[in-house]
Amino acid sequence: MRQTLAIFLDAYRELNSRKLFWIVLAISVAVILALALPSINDRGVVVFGQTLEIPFLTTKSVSPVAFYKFLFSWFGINLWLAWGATILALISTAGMIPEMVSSGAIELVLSKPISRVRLFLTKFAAGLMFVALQAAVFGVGAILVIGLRGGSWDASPLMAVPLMVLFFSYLFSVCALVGMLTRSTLLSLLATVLVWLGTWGIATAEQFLLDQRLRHERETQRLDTQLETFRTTLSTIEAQIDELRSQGAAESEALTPDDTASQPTVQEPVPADPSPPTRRGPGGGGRRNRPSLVEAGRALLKQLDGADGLSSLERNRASIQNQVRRLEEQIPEARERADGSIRWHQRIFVVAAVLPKTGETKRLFQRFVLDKSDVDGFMKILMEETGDEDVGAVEQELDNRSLVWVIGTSLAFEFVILGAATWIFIRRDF
Amino acid sequence: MTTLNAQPVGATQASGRFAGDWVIDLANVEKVYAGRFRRGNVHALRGIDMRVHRGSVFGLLGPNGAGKSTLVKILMTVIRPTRCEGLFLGAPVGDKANLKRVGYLPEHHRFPEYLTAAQVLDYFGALSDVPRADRRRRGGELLDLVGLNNWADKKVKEFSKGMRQRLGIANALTSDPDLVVLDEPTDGVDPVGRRDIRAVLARLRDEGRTVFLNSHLLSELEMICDRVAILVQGVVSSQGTIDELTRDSRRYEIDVTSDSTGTPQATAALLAASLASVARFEQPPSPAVQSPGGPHGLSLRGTLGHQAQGVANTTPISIEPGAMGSSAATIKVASDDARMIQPIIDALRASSATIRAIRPVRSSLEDLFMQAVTDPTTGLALAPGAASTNKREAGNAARAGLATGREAAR
Repeated sequence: MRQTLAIFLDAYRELNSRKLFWIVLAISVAVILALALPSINDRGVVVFGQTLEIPFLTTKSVSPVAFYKFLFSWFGINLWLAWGATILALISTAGMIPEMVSSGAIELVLSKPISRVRLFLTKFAAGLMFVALQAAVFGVGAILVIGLRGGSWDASPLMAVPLMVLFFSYLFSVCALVGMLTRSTLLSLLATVLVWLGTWGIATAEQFLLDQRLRHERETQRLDTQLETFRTTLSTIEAQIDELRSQGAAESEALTPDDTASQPTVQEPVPADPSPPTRRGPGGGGRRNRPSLVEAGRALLKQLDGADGLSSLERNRASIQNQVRRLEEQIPEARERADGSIRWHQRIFVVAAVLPKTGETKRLFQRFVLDKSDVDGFMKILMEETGDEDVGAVEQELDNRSLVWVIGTSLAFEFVILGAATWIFIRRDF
Repeated sequence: MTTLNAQPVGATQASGRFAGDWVIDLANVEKVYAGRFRRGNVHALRGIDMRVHRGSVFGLLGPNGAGKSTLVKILMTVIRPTRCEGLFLGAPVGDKANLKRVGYLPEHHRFPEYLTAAQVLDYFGALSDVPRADRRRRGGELLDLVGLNNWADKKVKEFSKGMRQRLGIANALTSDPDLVVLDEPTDGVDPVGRRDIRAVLARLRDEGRTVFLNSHLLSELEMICDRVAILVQGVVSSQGTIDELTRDSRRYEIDVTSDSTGTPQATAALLAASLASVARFEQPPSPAVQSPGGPHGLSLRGTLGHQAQGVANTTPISIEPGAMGSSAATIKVASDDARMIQPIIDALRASSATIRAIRPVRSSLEDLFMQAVTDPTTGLALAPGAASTNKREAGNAARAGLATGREAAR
């Protein structure tokens, strides 16, 4: 315990001696203050007394508390802590392992009554302190802002500490391994950033393909239901036609001449006939024309009621049959597209599965801090505003992935990398 | 400098954990660095046997690349030995818990630059599992001991080389160790600092601690070491007390001037003639032959022929005349027994020669060292560095051997 504390104290002193640590802390505070500035009303977001009208970001879509929680998840965690601060943290701590194993320094610690495994893992854990302290400051800031500005006191933003430490530890394990292999700060930093960008790229691609897959799946689903409704409509129309036919057979004996004579007139004169008289007649002219209009209407009704109804039904049937044919052609294509996107998504999913879930880990903050109803309500508004029914589907899918999946697979990755680094450290002669 | 407030001598001895009185009792220590990419293995240590007595100051010396630091690093678990038998503080080498009782000053050590001197002692003390109160108390005392008391709160990055070395020695003592291992402690330290460090080492020994020194500064070791081992190309070429190692080289030297004509030959001949009653010399000088060589080529060698106190005598004696034009010469008698030279003095006194000085001489550590690192067959210094078994070279040699064999067959 004494030795562990000493290593942590030393790591703290090292951080303390670096300006970058304090710079990052200052930026963190600035970010917190900046996120405390805007407020939300029923028309949009208010900054410095000016209202920015954002249709999907009003008190109708989110409560003030949820608004600040959204701000802290998007800008605070996603942009600042998980990108900016993490890069600066890596720059600050990438030298830690190469420094420790450099000749002249390593002899001093290896000759102490502490096993190499413990020494290495403690040093690694001490390297996470940078991010832990930054995230703690950030979490407390978020609690204060949400409490003071949003009016709800909630300790959940402190989840930023374990989540950011986890997130950073995935990257730092790569940093430690490369640092152990090359003993070079620069190389380990470079390799870590590459791995990070790589996982980010893969994760982005995975989400893109997931989006495609979900859209295609919904598309086929939509087409299927469409086909289904068309078919049921078709069968009802056919039933109606049959019914009319049997009725019509009886009536047609009496109405045959009228029926055949009126048929061509139905298509054009119906809309054209009644309008010219009304236009032509200035003043009270309309009154004189009224009897003829009533007659025309009666004729129309009569036509529709009888054989004209049948023909329109038949035309409807034809168009629906066309639609059905079109759908029957489209559905296999859509299904093929969906299958293709499923295949592609599965492939990249396998790759993504073994890599650390950096993005999804930082997303967990949102999951812990925001209420599900807030997110759903917001997504609904967003869906209405954008008119895209599939917006938020990926987010929903991501939020449905289990903690064991997100953190477990990432920790498995970290375990392997860190295990390799520890193994090298144990075996090496310095 | 004040006294080091350490536990009394009895405390260490009472612990009695060692097998016998040996702090270090090693056998067959080997270290082979595996070559990478088809390069040959480097056999850095080739079977070291070494014993260090408790409470002694032990010096390990050897040329650069002999394996001194490798051996020390194996003891300190910095390097894993290929093979290692025996005990280190009563436990096998590699036992971490034992390192609590060892203080270590690595060669070219680098302390974290952002720590102050006091923080360095505190940090590494804590790593040695020293309780906080003890670290506080000892920290001040140790900085006092090495003369850095005014620098306790200064950052290490402001320190000079000599001050870093002093701090390193203080650091090696934070855990109140039974054994202190110092790798080149006087490296980069000025003469005043060296004297201070020697005083610290003497105090440590007086406190009952064992000091293991690793150095190539022979005069330093000679001044302070009880026992030394000379390491050459990965093996111990000799070890023992300095007295034991230099016993064979002890001799008496008698400086004389004769009233000869001034050529070295004449001087040597005249002295040989004066000593004819007590010694027999090979190759009596012939004045007619003018040897072109310098005075050293003109020395005469022989054995004492007299019987001192009834003892048959084969002690070697030589006459080494001075430079041309000088009538001086030195007579060397390879014995540390003063009785042996009495007849020679008598004979010289009876002749016309003048005795200018008689002195007992013994080899310095440097002579021993030079002797150890010189190839006896060629007389040249042994190649620095440990022996390497280069696979490719061996392969080439084998192929070359085959080729010559084939040629021979034709």
